[in-house]
Amino acid sequence: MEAFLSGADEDSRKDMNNDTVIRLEGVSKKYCRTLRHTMLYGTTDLAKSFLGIKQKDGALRNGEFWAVKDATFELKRGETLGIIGQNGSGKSTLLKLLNGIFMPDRGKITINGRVGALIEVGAGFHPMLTGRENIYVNGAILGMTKKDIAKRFDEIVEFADIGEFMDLPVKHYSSGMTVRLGFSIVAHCESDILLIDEVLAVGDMDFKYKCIKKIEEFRREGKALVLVSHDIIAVNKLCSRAILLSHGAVEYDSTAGESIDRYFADTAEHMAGKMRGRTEDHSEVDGKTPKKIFFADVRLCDTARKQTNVFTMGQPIVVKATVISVTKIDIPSFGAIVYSEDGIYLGGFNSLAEEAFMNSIEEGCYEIEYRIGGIFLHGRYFLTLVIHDGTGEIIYDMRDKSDYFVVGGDAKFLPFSGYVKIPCEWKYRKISQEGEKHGYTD
Amino acid sequence: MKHTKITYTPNGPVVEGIGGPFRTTRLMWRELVSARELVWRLFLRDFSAKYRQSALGVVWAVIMPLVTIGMFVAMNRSGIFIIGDVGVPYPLYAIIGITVWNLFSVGLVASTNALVGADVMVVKINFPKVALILAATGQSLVEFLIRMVLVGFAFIWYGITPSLDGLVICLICFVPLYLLMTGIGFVMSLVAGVVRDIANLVNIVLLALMLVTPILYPLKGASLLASANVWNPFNYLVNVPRDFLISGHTEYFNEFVSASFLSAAVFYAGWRLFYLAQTKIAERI
Repeated sequence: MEAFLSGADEDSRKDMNNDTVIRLEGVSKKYCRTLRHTMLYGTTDLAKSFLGIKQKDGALRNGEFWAVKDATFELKRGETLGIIGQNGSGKSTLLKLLNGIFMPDRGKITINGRVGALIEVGAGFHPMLTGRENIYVNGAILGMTKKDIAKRFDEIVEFADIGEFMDLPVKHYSSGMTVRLGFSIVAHCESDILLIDEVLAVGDMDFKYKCIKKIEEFRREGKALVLVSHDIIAVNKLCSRAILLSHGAVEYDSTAGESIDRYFADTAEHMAGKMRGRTEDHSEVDGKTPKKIFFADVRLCDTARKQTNVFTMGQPIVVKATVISVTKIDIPSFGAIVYSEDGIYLGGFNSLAEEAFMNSIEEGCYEIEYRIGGIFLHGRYFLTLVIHDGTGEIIYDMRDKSDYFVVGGDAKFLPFSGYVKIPCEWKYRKISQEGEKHGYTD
Repeated sequence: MKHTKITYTPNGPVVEGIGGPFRTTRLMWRELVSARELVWRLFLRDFSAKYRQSALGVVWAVIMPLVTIGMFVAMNRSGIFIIGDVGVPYPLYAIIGITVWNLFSVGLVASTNALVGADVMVVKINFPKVALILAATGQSLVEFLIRMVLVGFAFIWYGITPSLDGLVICLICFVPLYLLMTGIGFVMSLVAGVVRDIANLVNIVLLALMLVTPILYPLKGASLLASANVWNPFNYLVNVPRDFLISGHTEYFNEFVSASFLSAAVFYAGWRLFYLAQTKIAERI
């Protein structure tokens, strides 16, 4: 076995030029579907290791699946790579493989340089110890020597910016403070390759901004960066290249913009698949009492009345709902709420508040149509549609997050992070010829 | 750590420039050397965290053995359990025995739980896991030293002077017991990572071992227990240091040497298995 391994190493040395810091060749990793299989295979694998029996060529056993499948790519010094994909597409597993937390079941990964990983900050914190003490422990876990830590201690404290809480046990920290301290320690480790997994999702805006600045600093220093994120905007902003993973396999490997476009196209398909078969019978409340008024059908369309769930930024979204009323309803209100993909309530509106529809309706079938302005930025959004009475106390019918839309388009126009484009108007005029008067010279 | 090229393969990491004979052993050694500071940090962390919110602190290290010995003394005095002559006052004999045994049992329990206790770290951070086990065994060394102070007080209390040469030899004689504990601890921590039951099993086996090994009582004549204990390495690993401390000599030196070789072999095998399997455990834990 040892001879085989050193041979393999020589091959990769020959092929890998000096600029390549990460190289994956046909890397696959399998996981168990159930805990029972985890225990079973874990025990047999351990026994085999103990007896020196070589594992078979990574073939799938019953109850296993490929979390990462046949991934091949390279990363060069100074390159920044985003890894994007749906939940469960293998992004985090791939990052853990790059970090050497576990070995591939097939293929090999060559790492040329020191790796720093922001996979879960604060993972090594001991709750009973103070922040100060934890800096030393966590630093050591991340491979820093006592001298390294002492040298950078003040920088770490300053960057974390948690003031007097430094001498408080970490168990009393808020999650934001834990992340601040954790990020600060990792960010001050010497590394040539930085792996980042979703850590920017926690912490307040101020700190997030600081992190992004730090990451940009790494990039300028010519370090390689791998970023796993759901935050497409962050990937677009920080990465020059992106890999789209689908079911563990590299589906697309291109510039960040192109991969993101592909991701949005996939997303729309993926969501359509998920929503299919979710058509509920809306004619009855809790399956027994007949509803007085209900949604029979809802479609999202573009302005040309063509049904779609994919819109480009700025394009209005037309909601066409077929509503059946079985009795006379006194001034019903039709409302909608928009949620972001991560469930954040972005806002809503209803016909009553906007005085758009102030009539009572008789028994019959109606088509309600309204247009939502194209204010949404790149991302996936859910729609909740409701019909309620004038007071809002009686809800006649509700389709809770049953409809969705995806806003995509050319990723090079991804200028903002957030959910909506806030409308603004600009004015420009020259007020004086002489700049010096205002204290400004060349 | 200096800049190195490393390749991750299905059979473990391959470090550039380290090949040839004893490759694995040299990698293990390299990892151990790079982890020495981490071992110390983790040890300090566990030590200070353990006693931080505790009123009695390190005193607990002596309370537990005193309770066990108290029970045996009470049973002896009331005639339930006749111990017979051990050459020195029984409490002194028992305190030394249990101090030596606890070096093994406390360390084994701590190292069995070391990987599972740090599961979040193991799954999220790449660091030499060997440090977790060694830091855990460090706790038993500290408690051992505290209990040795108790042993010292016991000698003073009974007005007995231990053999000084014996004391030095006695301390050296703990090395094999420590190696055996760490070797088994390496393996148990891995198994506990996959099957959590092992932690309970270790406790039961330790209790049984403590009772069948002549730790709190001397072996008498030709009993079944006595003939079984001829093959029990713990018999020698515990009793030989005690003999040296009390009288400065032992009858079982050759058996002790054999048990020491066995301990060294278990230590190496356990460490090697741990080194090779640590990345396989990270995905199962």
